[in-house]
Amino acid sequence: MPQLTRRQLLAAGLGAAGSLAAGGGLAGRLWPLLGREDLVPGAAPDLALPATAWSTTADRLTFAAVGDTGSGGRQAMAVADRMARGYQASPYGLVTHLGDLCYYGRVEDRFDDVFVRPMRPLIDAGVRFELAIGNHDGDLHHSDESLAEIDAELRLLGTPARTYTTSHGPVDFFYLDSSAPGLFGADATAQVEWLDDALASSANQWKVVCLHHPLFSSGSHGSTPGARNVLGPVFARRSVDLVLSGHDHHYERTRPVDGVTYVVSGGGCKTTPVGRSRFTAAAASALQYLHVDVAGDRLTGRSVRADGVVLDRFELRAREGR
Amino acid sequence: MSLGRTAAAAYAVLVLVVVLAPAVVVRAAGDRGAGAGVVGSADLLGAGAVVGVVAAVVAWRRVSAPGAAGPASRWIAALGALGVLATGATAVPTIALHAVTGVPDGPTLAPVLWAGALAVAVLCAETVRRRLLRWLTDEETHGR
Repeated sequence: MPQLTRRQLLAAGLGAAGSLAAGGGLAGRLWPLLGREDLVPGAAPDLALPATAWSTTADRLTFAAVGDTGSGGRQAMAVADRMARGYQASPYGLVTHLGDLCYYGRVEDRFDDVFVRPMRPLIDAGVRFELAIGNHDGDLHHSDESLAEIDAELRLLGTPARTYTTSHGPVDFFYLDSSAPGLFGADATAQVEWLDDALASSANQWKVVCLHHPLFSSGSHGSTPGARNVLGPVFARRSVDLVLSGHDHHYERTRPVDGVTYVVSGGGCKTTPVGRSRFTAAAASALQYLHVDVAGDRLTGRSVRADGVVLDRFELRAREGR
Repeated sequence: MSLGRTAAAAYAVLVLVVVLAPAVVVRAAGDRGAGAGVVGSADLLGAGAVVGVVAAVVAWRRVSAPGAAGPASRWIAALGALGVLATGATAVPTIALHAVTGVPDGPTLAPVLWAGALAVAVLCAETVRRRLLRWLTDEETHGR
């Protein structure tokens, strides 16, 4: 074996250490980051959908729910394309967006990339979008800049406020601001009292709550600390049927908890792993959206993956007396 | 095949794998989340393969062709460069893609950007190899 010089020994040692560090960095951080994010630009869906093809009546509504779509990348386009194809098969007039409309920049700069281009077929068909604001929609919510970012997003989407209700056919929707300080700061009591009053005065057959942060999740973020204590009793007392959220980038449905079914539908453009908890009825780490049909006393939900595979199907019955 | 040639061929294959790996990661993530082939990534794999084959051929020549430097110095410099290439081949495309978020997509944007970023990573690795080799050769030339 040849004798190595001092420089060769030094270079070989540093090279070995550097290669080990590089290998560890790749396996531990860079490759997971590249796999987790949706950075590669993608072509927008190119479908022409028939306008206002849906039928909403006093006892019938079809809507879609999706969260965390804000990359503008290929995976986001694949989900948007599937949503457009879902409209072709079963038209809907409403999308409840579960927050995180924009990643990787300011919504004023990226609105076309993250919303208009991917959702163009649905927008052109006249579909209405209603937003529950997410944490990436405002970054640090305590700053004036982030509040301005949220205001810009609400204005761009035509959303009336950070918390609001809407009514479509047999369903009343309740949109919450689940970020700090909305749910956990000084405004929290006011929001919960507002929600309690709104739910109490709701006379419609179905009550669906939309918020970004999940009360129940087996994903990477997990169940939002404190949210269950603050909101769970209100949902149970007011007989909410379905709670839709995003934040974690997966699909998960719980067994009914105090009569309430909780769904995470956050696979709008990225995926993160999901496990199973004692409350889990179905879970999948997937790019997906939720397609919901309400007909009379039945609500049927389908979690549809970007390739059209139905990951989960569930049915709820209307509460007695409604 | 001699040990040196076998080692050179293995090194070239490693270079190809390292350059292709990021595109494979992107493809695997898309397939895992959306189902096989739904999120297109053949263009990235193609771009990675083109740059990877060129980088592998160059790497093979560098470690197998005799030059002013001895084999020990050649291999130490080559392995140092491989560490740089491994990191750069993932980091540079990631940074480049993040930098162009918001640029309207065309059919060539992603593969061209991907290939360009990989080429930058290959050039960085080659620069490191040359400097390291020169530093080691200086010592060989001027005595220990």
